[in-house]
Amino acid sequence: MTKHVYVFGGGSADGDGTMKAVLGGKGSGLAEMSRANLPVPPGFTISTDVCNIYFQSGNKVPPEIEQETAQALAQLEKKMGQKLGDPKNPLLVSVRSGAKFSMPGMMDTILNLGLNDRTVEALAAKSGNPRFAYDCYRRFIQMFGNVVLEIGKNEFQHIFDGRKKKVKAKFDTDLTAEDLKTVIADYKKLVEKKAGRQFPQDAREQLTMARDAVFGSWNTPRAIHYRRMNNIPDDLGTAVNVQAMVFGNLGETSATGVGFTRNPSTGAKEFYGEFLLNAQGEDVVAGIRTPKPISELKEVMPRVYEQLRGITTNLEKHYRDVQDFEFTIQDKKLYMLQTRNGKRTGPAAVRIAVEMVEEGLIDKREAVLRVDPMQLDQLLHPVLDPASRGSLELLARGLNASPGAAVGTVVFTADQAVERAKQGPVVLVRAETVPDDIHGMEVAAGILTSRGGMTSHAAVVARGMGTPCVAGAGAVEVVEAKKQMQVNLNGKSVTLKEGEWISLDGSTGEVFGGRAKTIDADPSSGYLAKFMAWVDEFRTIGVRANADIPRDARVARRFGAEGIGLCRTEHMFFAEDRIPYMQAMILARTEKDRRKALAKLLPMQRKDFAGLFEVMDGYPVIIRTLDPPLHEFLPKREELMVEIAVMKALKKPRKKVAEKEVLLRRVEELHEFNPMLGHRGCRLGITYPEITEMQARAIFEAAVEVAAKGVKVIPEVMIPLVGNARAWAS
Amino acid sequence: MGELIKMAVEKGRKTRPNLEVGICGEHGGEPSSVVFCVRAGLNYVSASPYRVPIARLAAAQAALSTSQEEAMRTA
Repeated sequence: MTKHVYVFGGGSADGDGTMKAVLGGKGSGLAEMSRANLPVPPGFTISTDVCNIYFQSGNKVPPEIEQETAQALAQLEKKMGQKLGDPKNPLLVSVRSGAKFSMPGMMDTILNLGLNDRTVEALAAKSGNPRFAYDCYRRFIQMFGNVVLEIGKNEFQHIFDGRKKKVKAKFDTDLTAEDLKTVIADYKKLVEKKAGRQFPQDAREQLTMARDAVFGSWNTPRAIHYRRMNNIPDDLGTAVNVQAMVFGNLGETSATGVGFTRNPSTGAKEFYGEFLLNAQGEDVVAGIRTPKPISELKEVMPRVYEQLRGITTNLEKHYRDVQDFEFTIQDKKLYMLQTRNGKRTGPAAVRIAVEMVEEGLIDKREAVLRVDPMQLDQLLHPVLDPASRGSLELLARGLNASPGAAVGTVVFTADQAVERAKQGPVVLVRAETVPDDIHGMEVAAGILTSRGGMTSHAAVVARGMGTPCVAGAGAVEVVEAKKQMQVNLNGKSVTLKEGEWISLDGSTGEVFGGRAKTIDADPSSGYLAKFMAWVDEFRTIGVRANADIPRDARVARRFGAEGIGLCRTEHMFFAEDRIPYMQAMILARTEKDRRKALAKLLPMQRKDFAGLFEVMDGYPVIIRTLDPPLHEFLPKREELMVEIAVMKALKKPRKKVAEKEVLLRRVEELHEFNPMLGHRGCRLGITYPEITEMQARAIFEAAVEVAAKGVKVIPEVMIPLVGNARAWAS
Repeated sequence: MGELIKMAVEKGRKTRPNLEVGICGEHGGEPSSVVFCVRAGLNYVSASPYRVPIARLAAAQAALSTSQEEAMRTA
């Protein structure tokens, strides 16, 4: 006969941690913890198969499975020395869903099942705390009414708040047992009115109804939709976990809490978490009461604290990863409710992986596999010091266009950026940036724009340069003429004038007024350096960098690039001091004139390459010859037409107008239907071989010059867009 | 695109077995693309400077999971 119900607790379990498909994630976890002899409250798991059987049998559970469930319940009652529904010594249980994957829309949790008008008295007597007993009962009716009988939460809340108001109670805890009795009576009336039946007093009927509600929640529209979206099969089914209740609100010797075996934010090996005395689990997360740091538990209940530390340390060793756990202390007796691998930040992930290898918990290979590559991003850019972040005023939010922190004085034009950057870091603030701003963007510590998205000019250029950028911060109004920016902050207008301090977080898109402290990224030391050295032990493929200027190449070397995989030579021609020569070359009508212009560009290009070769001492540098179509180096056709019209209207000298007209004609000549597949790449070199000739000369001369200084130069050349052998031969 | 890359690597190396093949541009620093490049047998990826460590880690993970799959096949 197939087993359908699996018991756990008291140092043993029918199932184990590998049985996620049968027991669900939660159920297999509970079985595993019980086997590891952890103090888990005992219980049983009704398997996921039963969920399918339930639907196949027309929303019923067949008698033989009911029988199996009854046996499991009897075992649980024996372990706890209590009986479900017993008026003297009642067993109370929690009922939870638990599929193989956690899923929104599923019925979550019913606590305190087994309470009724008689068992609540027993609980009150046993705990010597009637207020607590009636509070459990009213919570249970509320949860059961909501998730099983489908009565709106707010209807219960309305009754509860009404009572609080009536007796002028400030907090929930101000309500007395008598107040709660009144609330319970009103709750029961609500159930009768809305569900058309009395609140079930039979504890076994409560359990059956809760179980069926869990199964039913498998087919809520939200759960079905989620499965479709994530390709989760409909016939996986959910398990039902029934577990003995333990109470963290049984007075000042009871408590409940959550924690991590290491700090999930920094990765430091420290016991991290919080707890509340005399509370149930939901009080910790609900934020009504402020939990205390877990270190204080040591003073209140030293023996339990030591036990908890011992258990969680073992858990971490057992799962070989940081554990995120929940616990309850009932009258000084510790119970572990849940444990799972903890989520963590990028810096924490790296530190934890490194320290766990040093502790012998995992090997290097596992450490390398544990860190999500994208999480490394958080370690590569400077970040705002969390302490100073809290003390500054948040002015605006924009898009997190380029990660990292930037702190500087505000400037509103590229020229001012260059000027003021000589004295200290600046943040360039523009409505939006244009290619003409590039010299200012290069010197800026950060860039802020009020318009534009993730692919706006500012965003793209900033990411390429590794400069932090917040783009499209709509609340920021840039008044360039007055050299100031304004932000409407909760109705009051805040003005920042040129030279005042601002701090950007390009990783979150936040803009702060004032001067924040930053913490620099240092890939050459600490946990990251150690981790990356291990990464390289396993790596089989080369990693190079795209870099056009020596500064980028230096960053690339610092981050471990083994050469330059792409140097785009065209970027070198866009610089302000070079574009006139480039344009002269394009406008030239004869080869002789072209050569004249190219002769001016040769020394500049040679200097660029020499710089790259020097930085990449001993590593290859791949230089791509000129690639984009020539029109990209000229002004846009429409802009030229406007400019000429304006010049004519203002009666500018004819010679100047004629110059612009020549430029316009050349732009029109160069026009193509699809420039991306047009006259570009090696085709330019075929029609104008002297361009390629100049670039080749610059590469070779730079190589010779740098090699003469004792630097190992490995130049490689990439000829772009070679389509066939004939093009290559040319 | 992936099929074209695989074809280029395969056919190119048929003619010249030690042909060096690499990729540059934003794909060089995108983890799932790096994984693809490792499996396609490229010699190198080229990423923007700040993405170099990300590419290094993605490449190492691809190498580890590839060797793991091979071990499972031969076991």
